[in-house]
Amino acid sequence: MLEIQASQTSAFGGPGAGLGDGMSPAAAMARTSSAGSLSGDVVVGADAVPQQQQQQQQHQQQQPHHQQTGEILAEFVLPTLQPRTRPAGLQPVPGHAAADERGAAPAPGAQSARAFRKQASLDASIAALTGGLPPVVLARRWPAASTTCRRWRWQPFTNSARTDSLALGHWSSDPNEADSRFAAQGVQAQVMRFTDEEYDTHLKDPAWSKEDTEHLFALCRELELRFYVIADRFEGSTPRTIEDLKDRYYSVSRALVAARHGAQDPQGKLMTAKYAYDKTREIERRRIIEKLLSRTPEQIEEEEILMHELKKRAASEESWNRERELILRSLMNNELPPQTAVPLVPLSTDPRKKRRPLRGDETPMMAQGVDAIRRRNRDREVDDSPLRKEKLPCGAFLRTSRIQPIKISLQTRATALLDEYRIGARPNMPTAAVCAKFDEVRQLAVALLETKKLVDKAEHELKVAHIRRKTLKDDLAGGRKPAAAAGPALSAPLAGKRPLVSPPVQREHKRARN
Amino acid sequence: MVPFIYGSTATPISKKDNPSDPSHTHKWSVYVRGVNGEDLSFCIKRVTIKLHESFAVPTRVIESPPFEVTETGWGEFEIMIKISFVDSNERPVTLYHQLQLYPKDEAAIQAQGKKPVIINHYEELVFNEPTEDMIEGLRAYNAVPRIAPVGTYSTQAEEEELLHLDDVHSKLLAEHERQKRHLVKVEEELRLLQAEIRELERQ
Repeated sequence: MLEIQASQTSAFGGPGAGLGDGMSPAAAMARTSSAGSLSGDVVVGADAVPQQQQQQQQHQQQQPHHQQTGEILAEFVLPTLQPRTRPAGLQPVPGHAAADERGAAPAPGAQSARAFRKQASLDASIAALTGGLPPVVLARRWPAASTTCRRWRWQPFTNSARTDSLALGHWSSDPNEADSRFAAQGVQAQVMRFTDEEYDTHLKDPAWSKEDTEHLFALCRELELRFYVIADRFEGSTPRTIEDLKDRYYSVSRALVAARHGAQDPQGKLMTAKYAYDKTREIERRRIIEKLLSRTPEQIEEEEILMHELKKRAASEESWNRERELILRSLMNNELPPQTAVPLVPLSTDPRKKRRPLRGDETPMMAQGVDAIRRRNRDREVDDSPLRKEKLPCGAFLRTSRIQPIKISLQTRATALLDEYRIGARPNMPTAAVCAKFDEVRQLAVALLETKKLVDKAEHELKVAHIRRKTLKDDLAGGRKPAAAAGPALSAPLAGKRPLVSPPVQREHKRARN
Repeated sequence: MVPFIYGSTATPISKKDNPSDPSHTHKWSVYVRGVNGEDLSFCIKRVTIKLHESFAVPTRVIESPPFEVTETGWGEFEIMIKISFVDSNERPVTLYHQLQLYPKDEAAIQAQGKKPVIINHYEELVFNEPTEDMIEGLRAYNAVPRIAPVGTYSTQAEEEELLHLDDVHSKLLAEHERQKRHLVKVEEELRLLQAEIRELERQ
């Protein structure tokens, strides 16, 4: 059992939701009155509570409690999960419930007693709903607010970033704060200055006059290196882009630092790094950004579609790769029929030994070229691939279960072909060697059928090409230059009735090939 | 590796042989045994044979050799045979056998008379990485060569089958090579022809 104060449960529904069914009149009255005084007391799903439980609630009202008085309880008590002992006494007479209550706890008034009764019935209802276990999300403990508060004072302050010593006042909780917090923001740009001598020795640039450079530096100082504004205000001998201005400013600064500190000075290096500027790169950057910002909505849409496609591809790439690998493996496997058989035959009386020699062989085999690589691949296959593991289960299996099935699209034709050679669906004596050979023969039959398919396709194309050539020649013969169509003997005399020509030609080609 | 035989024999019966159900025409048995009738109970714990639903108790569980079910009936159907092993770590293997009561061709039916129809299949149980329990039994069993030199399922039969397969393999290979060469030829021809067509189209 647990204490749940009304203020918390009130979040769960309207006030006093249907507690009435099957309740004794006195209890019902007590309930209505307390519901009136403490609006917001709610029991979750209380209308589902049957009479028996209602009586239980009253039973509970007798419980001794050591909490604060009712109203405080209803408002502020935290949800302590305090077990309550339920007296095994008789069911109380409803009319005396309030009196009992008063006897049990020193409540200041009837109202608080009712509130407490309410509380008790809440407990019971919730216990009935939750099977006696504490509900998990009923209460939320807010962090305790601090009881002391900071003292705010009106105090004068100055801003060290200002050039004047203007003194103002503000409300502050920090008695030691004399300088404005915003002084840190008032940083001035440190634009270097140069003498005429320095200019002549280090800073000369054929693209820039001294006047222009000085004008630029004056603007930099005045406008705090805000180059967009500087570029706007710049009035030199020639118009210059923002990159030109920046480049000149930074290169002059770098040259000054180098001249004053020397090339080896670490501080000088640090400052040079501060003035690094790469004009071509900046121009390229601007170009790219402009390109990006000047896309039309259609282009943006297309790009989004492409990105979406790319994401889809990336998502399915893994499965593609896996499938591809499996196919590659099975292809490789088919190329190596005799070797496939060897390691799978635990002919020795101790099949446990089977794997060890294989692994042991691995290292010396590495040096033996393609064959070794293939064998190693196959070994890996046996070890890694989930597909392989199915084929070579770790445990008992039937020899014939290792025979690979023929792919469905070719099954009928392959079976017919193998039938011709008196090979059935299953070897007569499926020993390891026979099964391996059997598998090999079957896969060869499949390969043969596939090649035949390709041949058929190519022959068909050839046939079509022949007809096409004939048509073209006829066109040429019947068209503008009949003399040129001297090639095939057929085309000249039959040029006039093309539609009738094709079938015999077709047949002729067929015969020729067969 | 344990070679074994599974299969069935079926003998025709007359009505008076089987008074219980006159519609039954054959007495048949389905079984799992060693190649030469050896006892396989050193590795096989139980064989579950699943008959057609119409039989009383269609699933028969045989815990000791001979692993065999004998019944009478009139129809052919596929029988599921599940072999469970002494080592409970090993997963059971399942195979299917088509019960056959009548010989395949008409002539044989005429000539059959009372002779039984025997359909046997050779099969091998392969124990990949067996547990310690099983190794000893397998080793002992395979100490003696189980496949006879001559007979239906013998080293000789195996060799013959291998020879036949080799023969077929070389034939198929030759055919495959021929087809491949042919394909190359046809494709070459096609290529020339297409070049010619392009040339013509340009004119």
